[in-house]
Amino acid sequence: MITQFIISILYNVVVFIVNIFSVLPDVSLPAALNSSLAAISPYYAGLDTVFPIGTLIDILAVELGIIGAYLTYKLVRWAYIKIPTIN
Amino acid sequence: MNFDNWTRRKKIKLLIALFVLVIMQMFFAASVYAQTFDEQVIIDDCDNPRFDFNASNQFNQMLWNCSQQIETGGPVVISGLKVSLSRNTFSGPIYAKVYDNEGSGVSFSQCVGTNVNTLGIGNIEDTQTVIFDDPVTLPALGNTTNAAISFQVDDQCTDFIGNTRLAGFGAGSNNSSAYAEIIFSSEVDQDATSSDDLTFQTRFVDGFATGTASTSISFSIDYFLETSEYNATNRPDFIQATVLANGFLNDTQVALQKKIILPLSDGPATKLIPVTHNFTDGNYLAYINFGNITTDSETFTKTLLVLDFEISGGSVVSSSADVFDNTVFNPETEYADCSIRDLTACFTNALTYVFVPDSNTFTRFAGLYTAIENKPPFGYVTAVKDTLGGVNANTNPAFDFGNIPFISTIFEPFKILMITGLWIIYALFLMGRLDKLDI
Repeated sequence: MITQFIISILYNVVVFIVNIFSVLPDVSLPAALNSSLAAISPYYAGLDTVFPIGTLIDILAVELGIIGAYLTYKLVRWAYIKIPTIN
Repeated sequence: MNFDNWTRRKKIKLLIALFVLVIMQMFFAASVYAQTFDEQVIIDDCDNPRFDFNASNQFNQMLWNCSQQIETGGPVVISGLKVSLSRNTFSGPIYAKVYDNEGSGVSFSQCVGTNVNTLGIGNIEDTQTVIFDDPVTLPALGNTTNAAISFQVDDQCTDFIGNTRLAGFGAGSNNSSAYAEIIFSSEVDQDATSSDDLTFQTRFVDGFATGTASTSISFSIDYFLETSEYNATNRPDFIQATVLANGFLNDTQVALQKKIILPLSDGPATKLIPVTHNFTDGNYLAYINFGNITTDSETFTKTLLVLDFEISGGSVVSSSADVFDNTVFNPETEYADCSIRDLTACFTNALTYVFVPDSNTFTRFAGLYTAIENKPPFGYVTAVKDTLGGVNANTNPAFDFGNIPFISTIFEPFKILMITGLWIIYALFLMGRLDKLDI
């Protein structure tokens, strides 16, 4: 009950943040960057066998998520304190 | 302790620390009480029934009116009904018949799976399994209509004969919407002599290990999942077998993982998973997972089959299977029996109620990333990963360490260490950032 309540709060916070991002348009890489990645892909595959590059990309994604959440919080807070009579 | 003097930052840090502690204790509780609940999951999982009930025993004891939504709107199609007969008094063929209103009429009755040749004429001396491949289609039901599926032993598809009716379940519709449900109801004719020893299943996963050479064994997996789990848009894509020696993870685990892509079939099927390895004599466990390659999750919904097998003299000499539910903790269905003679169970229930969340609490997080995986800035990371992975799948690498013999054996432990180290370093970095965060 307690755990579920806390996780539900967290879930709703995450849903709120996700909803903000979900209205943005889909993005894709520029064609030049795509072809560059395609060129290094064979080397990446070989290197990934001995060094977990995929993990670094995952960490980057997590970091982006945290930064996104923090900036969203700052944005909401900025709008919040603009409400008259608050603070 | 005067909280009024605390800064907001300190309070939030305290809240985060408490949250982490709660999560940690939850996993602790999970490991402690897992054994207590496993068995109950198999028997009393009314929300996700496996229909693995014996008519003469558990049908009498189970809760009636457990129901499960099987399809939204329209006609209801049920296929892959599986019946195991183990009583030696059956003779002749078996028909599955569908009746409306619990057999009072035959307006949409139909016979499916005529198995004259399968069962043979005469007494059945051993357990035999009949799978009715032909789908049973119930028409769209009215708001108050109930239907029943009954099995009868007969040599022709004739009208309902009451005393040969073996077992059944109903399908009905909700008063306010069109969805249909499988409803466990007292359809079983308890007085019918032939109802003894009938096992009735619509969702099953079973399997066994076999092999006569110590270097090659196979897992024969017999499965049919619920309609909602197994259809064109929502279906497992592969079965993965992970073999463990003596029940523990060891350095051969990675080498013994075998993934088999499932056929595009909605019906019951058997799949062989060959595993080549130089097995020594001993006891092994194989975990069989249903997975989906279109999501990040490696484990599909709730099905996990555990095969326990023994190799002796180079051959598999014994094999047994248990079905486990991955969603081990569902407080709605997994309380232990609490009584004055078993106060431990009462405390367990209390702890479970307070600290163990519903399994859906976590699973609903999984779909959130899908909503933003193509949105900026996450979309760029997704695109990079897809490009690197996708191109690699169709490209001959200029050089590939993976093709060098023993490369995995050499680098895999280091790679696991590096992955762990990277995440720990990032966690420490994040904690340092959290401490200086201006909120």
